[in-house]
Amino acid sequence: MAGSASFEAICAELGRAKGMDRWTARGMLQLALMDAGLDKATVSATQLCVVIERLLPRQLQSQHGVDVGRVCARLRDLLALESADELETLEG
Amino acid sequence: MLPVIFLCVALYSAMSATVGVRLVRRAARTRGMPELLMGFAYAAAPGFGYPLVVVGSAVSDRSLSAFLFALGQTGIVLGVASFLFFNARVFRPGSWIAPVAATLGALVLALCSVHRVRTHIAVGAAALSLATVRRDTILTLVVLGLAYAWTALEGLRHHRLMRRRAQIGLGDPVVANRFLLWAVAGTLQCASDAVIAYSLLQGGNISADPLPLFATSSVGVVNSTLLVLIFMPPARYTRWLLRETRPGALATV
Repeated sequence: MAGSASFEAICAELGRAKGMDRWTARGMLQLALMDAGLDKATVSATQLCVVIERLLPRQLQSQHGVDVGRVCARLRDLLALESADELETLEG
Repeated sequence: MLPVIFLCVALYSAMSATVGVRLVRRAARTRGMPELLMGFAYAAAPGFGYPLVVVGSAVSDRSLSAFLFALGQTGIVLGVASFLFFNARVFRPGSWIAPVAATLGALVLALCSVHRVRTHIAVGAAALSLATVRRDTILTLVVLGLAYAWTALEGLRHHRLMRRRAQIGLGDPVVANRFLLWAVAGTLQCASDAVIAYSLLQGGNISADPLPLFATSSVGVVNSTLLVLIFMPPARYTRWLLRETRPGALATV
């Protein structure tokens, strides 16, 4: 099952981080979503932002060579753009 | 004893009709399909269908009895079918198995109901003593029980998801509680159906034996209360929930 646009965007970005690949990124993000009780198909940018803030750092710490703080900051920046798009869609 | 039981079941019917009509009216405003399906389910089956079947069985005039009985059975079939499609649409939106299961359940209910109505027209209220009608009623109860078991499992699953969300500040404790109450109501209704089906299998009289009457009436009263808490929660209850489920309280999940 495909994930929401925000989920796929974050997966792609996380997969580009040093020491990560696409599948590891996807798996980690899915685990974090499961801990949060969210579904990848419907998760929104706003919800993902909270997951990245509260749960993803713990998952990333198990991955060698990943700069957790920097990666999460980059993902949050990307989500800020996604959230703005979401708002525009809602208002439009 | 019988008037008390009648009162309990009547209370559940009245509450179901109230909740059902409110949800249908809300659906008319919001054009929301889930509200429409659930509202119609409550109004058509326990709200109007079941009382019409009871009254239809008690009326002495054969034509009026047949008309009320058939109308009630139609309400029950359409109501339970709506309930099945509500489950499929709300809880399993991406699945193809769920609508197929809902359609099969609705078909079984419709066929059983047609047979019950035909027999009622032929022999009146005594039809329930016939083996074929008892078999159809048991089959109907099995479909109903499966529908309520489905709703109970989905309710529990969503309650767990909502509690997890609440841990990171995303969930709404009132919605989480609604899913839990929804699961409890489904479980109780499923248990009540099982007791009635068991009584029928044993050759009992479900309109007179104490066990099925107790199951129907007690579940009716409890589920009436649950309907109020789910769909029309008093402000005091909501405030209590918010107080009890402050972030610290949910951290133990």
